[in-house]
Amino acid sequence: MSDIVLSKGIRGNLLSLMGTADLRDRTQYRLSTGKKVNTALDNPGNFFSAAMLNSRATDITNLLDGIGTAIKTLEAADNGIRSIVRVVENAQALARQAQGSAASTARLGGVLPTVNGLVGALTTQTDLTDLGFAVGETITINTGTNRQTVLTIAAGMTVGNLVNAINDNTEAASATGTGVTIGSTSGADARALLSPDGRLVIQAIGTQPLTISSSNAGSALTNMGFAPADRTKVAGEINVTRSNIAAQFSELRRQIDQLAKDSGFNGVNLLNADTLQAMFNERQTSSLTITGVRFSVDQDLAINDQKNRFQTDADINDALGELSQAMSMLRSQSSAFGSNLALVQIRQKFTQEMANTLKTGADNLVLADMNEEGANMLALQTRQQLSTQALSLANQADQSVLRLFGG
Amino acid sequence: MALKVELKPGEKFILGDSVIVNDDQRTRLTIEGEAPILREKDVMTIEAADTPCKKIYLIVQLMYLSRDPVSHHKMYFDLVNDVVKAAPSTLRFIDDINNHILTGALYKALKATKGLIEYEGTLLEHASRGSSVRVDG
Repeated sequence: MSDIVLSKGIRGNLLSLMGTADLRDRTQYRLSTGKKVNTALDNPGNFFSAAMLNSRATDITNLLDGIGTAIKTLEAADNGIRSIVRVVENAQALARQAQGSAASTARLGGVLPTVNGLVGALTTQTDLTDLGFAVGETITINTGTNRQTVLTIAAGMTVGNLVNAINDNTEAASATGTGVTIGSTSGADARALLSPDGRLVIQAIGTQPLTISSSNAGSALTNMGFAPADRTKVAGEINVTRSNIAAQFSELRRQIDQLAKDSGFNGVNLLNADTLQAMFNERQTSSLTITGVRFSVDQDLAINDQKNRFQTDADINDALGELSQAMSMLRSQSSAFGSNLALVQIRQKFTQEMANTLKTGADNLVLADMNEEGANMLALQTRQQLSTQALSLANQADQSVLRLFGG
Repeated sequence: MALKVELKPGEKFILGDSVIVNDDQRTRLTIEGEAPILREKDVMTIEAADTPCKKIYLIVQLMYLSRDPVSHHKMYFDLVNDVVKAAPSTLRFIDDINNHILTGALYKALKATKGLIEYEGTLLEHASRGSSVRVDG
């Protein structure tokens, strides 16, 4: 390349042109980025603190992603609970429908009992001796050959003990409690309950005959509501409506587990005993841990499968009792998740605002001009005095304990 | 942890939702519990809150004393964003205050706001000195 000789004057002009171009580029860059300080060379102090604040804002924005996930997880769990509540409501409706279809197995309905010589109602607390039984006597429930429950009456034994003896014996497990003996092979295939008006009702679980008897020679059984003619029922038949409903009930019960399993988000399922931790600051010093529940029918919800194909009212009552307990558990958990959700949302909003403030500040970080900032602050002070903001701040202060402090 | 408060005659302080006023002799109190406590010298009244950062102190104080701090968040950010726009260099204080509020340490937030007010003092002093120079010039 041949040499080009520039005179001193031209060289000066060229250099200043180049300088102008450089300045123009920088101004354009500032205009396009909206920042007065773009490189460490412009103003090292402010550049690095702006860079730090920007990266804090980014950290916080990343944190917000995590908080967003936590909110989605809580929402998924809450939706799951809502769906389970609907299934439990269906199951309740089914059980009530079964109740509405009269049982057709052998049933000893009893009449209103005579307690201490007066016609009254039985409660689980009614002492058997109040009906005329004596300690040492027995009450036997029989459902065919070698299937009977014998209750030997001990002091203080109540109608509740009798009901439990009958009901426990129809389970595979042996009956417990003092004075309870099980028949030679097994307990009676019967279930007992107290009707709302206070009668003792005993039902065979299937096509068995049913007999109640006692070693008491007096009128104790009659007093309990079973006159001599009402102590035996021949075998009844299976109620098909109830059997069908029982099958549907089992199906709904399976659905509950399925819904609980499907209530996760991003691999965290609060209805399947997972734990969710939401981080609120990037130093990881502030977090909220939400402990999940195990909403399966065999675990926390404790909804047992239907028993005896819902043939006896006692079985349906048990199911309804379990459903209503599960329902209150679902409701209280839903409200617990709800308050957690509100808490996380408040934090999310605050964190969002925080990130915005950081970004605004970092972008505006001007050359360290105390005079400019001071003048701005003075202007702000004046502006605030004239704004409605001051009024609303005063209002907020007036509603607090501060109103007591002024006077 | 119990807090010991020593009061001069006639001195007041805030305990939870109440203002407690000392009678005409020195008193020493031991306070146990979770209720917010604020001594008279730390209380910012609405009349005293006459600068942007003092207003921030006032709103943080309202959060500290309130059973429902969240209701003051909007006003807090309105005030804070105004200050950050006017003087971005206040950000390091505000970032600190934000973190304390977020983690629920409202008393610490209040203390950090004192630092902000001090810094605001130097800024405002610069401005008034600046204008006097201009008058002279």
